[in-house]
Amino acid sequence: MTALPEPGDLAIHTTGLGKSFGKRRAVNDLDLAVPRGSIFGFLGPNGAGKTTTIRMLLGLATPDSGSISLLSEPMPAAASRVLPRVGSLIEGPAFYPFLSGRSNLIRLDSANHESDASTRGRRVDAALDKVGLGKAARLAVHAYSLGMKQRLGIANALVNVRELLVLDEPTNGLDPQGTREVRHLIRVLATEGTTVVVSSHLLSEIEQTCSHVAVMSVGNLVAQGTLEEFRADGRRVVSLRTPDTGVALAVLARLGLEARQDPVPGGQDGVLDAALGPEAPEPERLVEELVAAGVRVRGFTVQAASLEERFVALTGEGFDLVQ
Amino acid sequence: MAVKPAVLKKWIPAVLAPAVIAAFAVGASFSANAQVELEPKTPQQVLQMIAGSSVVDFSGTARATLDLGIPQLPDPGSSGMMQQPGSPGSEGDTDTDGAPETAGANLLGMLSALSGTHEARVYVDGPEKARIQVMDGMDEQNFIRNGSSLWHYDSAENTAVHLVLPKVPRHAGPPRHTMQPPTPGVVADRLIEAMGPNTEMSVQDDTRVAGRDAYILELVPRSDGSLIAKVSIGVDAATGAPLEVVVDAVGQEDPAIAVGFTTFTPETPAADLFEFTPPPGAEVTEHKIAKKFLDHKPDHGPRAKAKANGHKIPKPFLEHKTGAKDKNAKPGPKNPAGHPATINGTGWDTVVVVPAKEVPKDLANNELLNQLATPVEGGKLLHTSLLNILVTDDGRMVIGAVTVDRLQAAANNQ
Amino acid sequence: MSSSGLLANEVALLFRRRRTWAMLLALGAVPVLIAVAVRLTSGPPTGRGPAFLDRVAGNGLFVAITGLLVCIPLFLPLTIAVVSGDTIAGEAGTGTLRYLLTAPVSRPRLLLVKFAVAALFALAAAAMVALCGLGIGALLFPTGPVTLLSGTTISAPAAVLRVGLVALYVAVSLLGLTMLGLFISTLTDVPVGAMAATAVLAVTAQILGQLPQLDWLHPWLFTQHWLGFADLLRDPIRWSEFGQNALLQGGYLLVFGALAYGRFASKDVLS
Repeated sequence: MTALPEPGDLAIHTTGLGKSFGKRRAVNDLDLAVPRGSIFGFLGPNGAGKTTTIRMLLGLATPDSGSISLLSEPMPAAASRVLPRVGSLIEGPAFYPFLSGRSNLIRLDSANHESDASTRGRRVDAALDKVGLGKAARLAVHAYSLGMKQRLGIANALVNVRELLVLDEPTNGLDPQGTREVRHLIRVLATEGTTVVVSSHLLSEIEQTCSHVAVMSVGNLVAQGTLEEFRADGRRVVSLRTPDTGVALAVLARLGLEARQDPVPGGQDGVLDAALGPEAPEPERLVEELVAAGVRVRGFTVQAASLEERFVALTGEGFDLVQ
Repeated sequence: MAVKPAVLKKWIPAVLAPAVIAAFAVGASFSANAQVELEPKTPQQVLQMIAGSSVVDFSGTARATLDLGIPQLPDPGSSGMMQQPGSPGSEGDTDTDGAPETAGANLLGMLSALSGTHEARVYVDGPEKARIQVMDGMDEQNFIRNGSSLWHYDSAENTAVHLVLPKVPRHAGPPRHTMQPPTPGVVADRLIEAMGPNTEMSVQDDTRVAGRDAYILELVPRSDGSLIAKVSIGVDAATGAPLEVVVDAVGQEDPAIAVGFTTFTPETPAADLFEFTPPPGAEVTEHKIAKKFLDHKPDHGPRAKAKANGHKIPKPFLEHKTGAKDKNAKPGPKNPAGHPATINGTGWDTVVVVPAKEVPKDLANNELLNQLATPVEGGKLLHTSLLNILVTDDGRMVIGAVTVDRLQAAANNQ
Repeated sequence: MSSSGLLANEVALLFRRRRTWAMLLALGAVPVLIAVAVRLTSGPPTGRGPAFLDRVAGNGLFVAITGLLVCIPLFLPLTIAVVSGDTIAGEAGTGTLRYLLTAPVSRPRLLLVKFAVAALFALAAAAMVALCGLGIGALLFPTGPVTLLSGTTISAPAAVLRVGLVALYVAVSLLGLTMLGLFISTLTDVPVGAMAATAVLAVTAQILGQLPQLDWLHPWLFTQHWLGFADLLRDPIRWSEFGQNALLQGGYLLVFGALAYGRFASKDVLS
């Protein structure tokens, strides 16, 4: 991990942030640093504390300990100054079902004391068009599908020009087409200079859009940095295909690699996988040694660890929700 | 987990608000009852002030609270809420029909109905013009005197009674009425009349009554048998007008009777207050009477009063009442001539003995009476905090504002 | 820039809800039912039923007063409980609270706006009963000069003004309950719970007000002066009850407003 950027360049900066609900520690000593202009992926399994963190960032919940700086202003003290510059989607969209999508956005915008009433209608319409709800704008929200509500929630974050967008699970409930549109939208917004924080429990979402990543697990921040750093930090894996698996295993063991034999359906070749640690010899030396030992190398690849493996390594496997 | 100071700060208003209100409430009651510094006066001087009071024009709100320690009678109609159409409340008048067959029990019933707090607005402009508005819930009783014309208007019944008084100038109508809360002046007059050497008089710490500086004249009976602990009279320091009379009973924390002004303005009320024209649609009864004034008047007062209080007085009572008014009226030394009651003792200890033949026959067996009375040696005792009534086994009635053994002694002396 | 924007929007929202109109129409139906019942029958004998009912047949303006009298112990408090109990808990229940607060609207301001809207509803509810009463009364019965409780007769326009005063008195009487409902609404995310609790309190306070053993408590009950508007129908008008009532309701606003602020400002919005 590289050194953190200067605090002034951070859209979000927390130090020692903590929050408990009863005996459960939801967020523990969190030092989050979101650089301005980044698309920041906020990863973690369900229940890791992402949403609680976001609620504290936006002043909905009071931290038990630590401090928050949002767009260089202290939260929650400066909430009324900062929040007009922040758009958010928190734990899914929520609207009055008997009002139209447009009326809902108008209502929320009129609650913003800094927004201009004279341009309200225009801005709301533009936001609705951006998320493809232009035609459904005057339909009551109870007639909306889950995906439409999600789009409306994103539109709400876009009614004003924002310096920071905090989107909690933005593609939840969207079809693949919608998911693509939202990713595209996020990239466009980022090129316009908006910092976007995208929280998700889905790795693929982060992998495809984000420039920075933070990973939470059981209330703790377990990794934070650029996507490249995150990837590079993962060890490489070599994969060897050979019929002489026994000899190959011995050679690799001699070189300090712990290989694992994967079953291969059909054929007599075996496949051995081994992670390359930092002290491990270069791949070309491995091949040299194997060939010298008489191993018939029929295939040899070096792969960077997938983000998924990295993610699982950080947060633990399995479906059990962390308590 | 310690609570952050920032969170605690949010609760400061929630702590302050009740504190401010409590301070305000305490301050208000403090200033209302605050002692005031007035020129010291002897009881005689205060009595003179009352006698010499020149206040003949005033308006104010009077409040009367009666707490005679009588058990509350079953009375579904008097629930303070309201009677829904067709609810049992509108049938309440049949509920008490069975028991109170006699006037004696009815007297108790009425006292019970009168217990509690009653408010009236009083407007007086000299001896010839007066108006009293008795306010009870959604109804109002109006007594208006303007010269020789006397009106009573009952808003509940929408009835008006008009009396034309004989030329002889008399005291204003309303105070004659026994069930009417008397004005503080009238009550004070009566008490002072009754005072003799058997009363200890003193002037207590001055205070405020009806928002005005007042002397408090205190009368304590020099008698160990009296049920009356003391009588306090609040006298307006500026005008000498009695503003308040409080009667405390022995062994009772709250005053048995408290009649007083809550607001008092010694100024002439607007003249049109004394002009009364019966509203269109009202049932008007005209009476041109001279001497028979009393014959009619009591019919309306108690009935209307009790009515306004939610009490429905059963019809038999009214008939009975008119038929035998003298016999059933509260016996006392000033009753109409020929009353065979005998009077024992003087002053605070006065005891009245009514012979058996004057007491209604069925009184002893009356259900309600039996419910309220407690058997004592020699008869049954009806106890209120200011008055004891002993119905002896031989049918006599012994009445007095004294302890029961005094009554028993008086009964045995006969 | 648009400090009144939210208030205007909330007011519009209140009167756009079908629920609001259902409640207002139900309230308006009360005087209509009373008037029709009196018209169809020959009218109740004097002195029976709610006060003033016996006067309805003689003067239609009394329908409004009778309607308010019938509505204030239960029907009006119920509607107030629904509106005030919904204020915060309703937003929390639908999840819109988090979006309002991050819009952002400050928590004290949201409370103020919500209270203002609920108070406006109280006024609208009282006005609805009064107006429907006046309307149906004028339609079914003769109108004309009105006899006050003191026996004085005043002109019909002056009587309409008195009806307006009574409606205002009733609306003011409901303010304490409105703030109570708002406070309860900050305690929960379940609007129905807050509504029910508020309604139960309104009824409980009236029951407590009936118990003579609790004399000391009565002056502090927000329901204590609910039926005191008769003083506006006397001649001259007696304002002390109006003043005492306003003072009492003001006290409730202060205490429960402060409690609502304490609770809401320190609350973690997790819905």
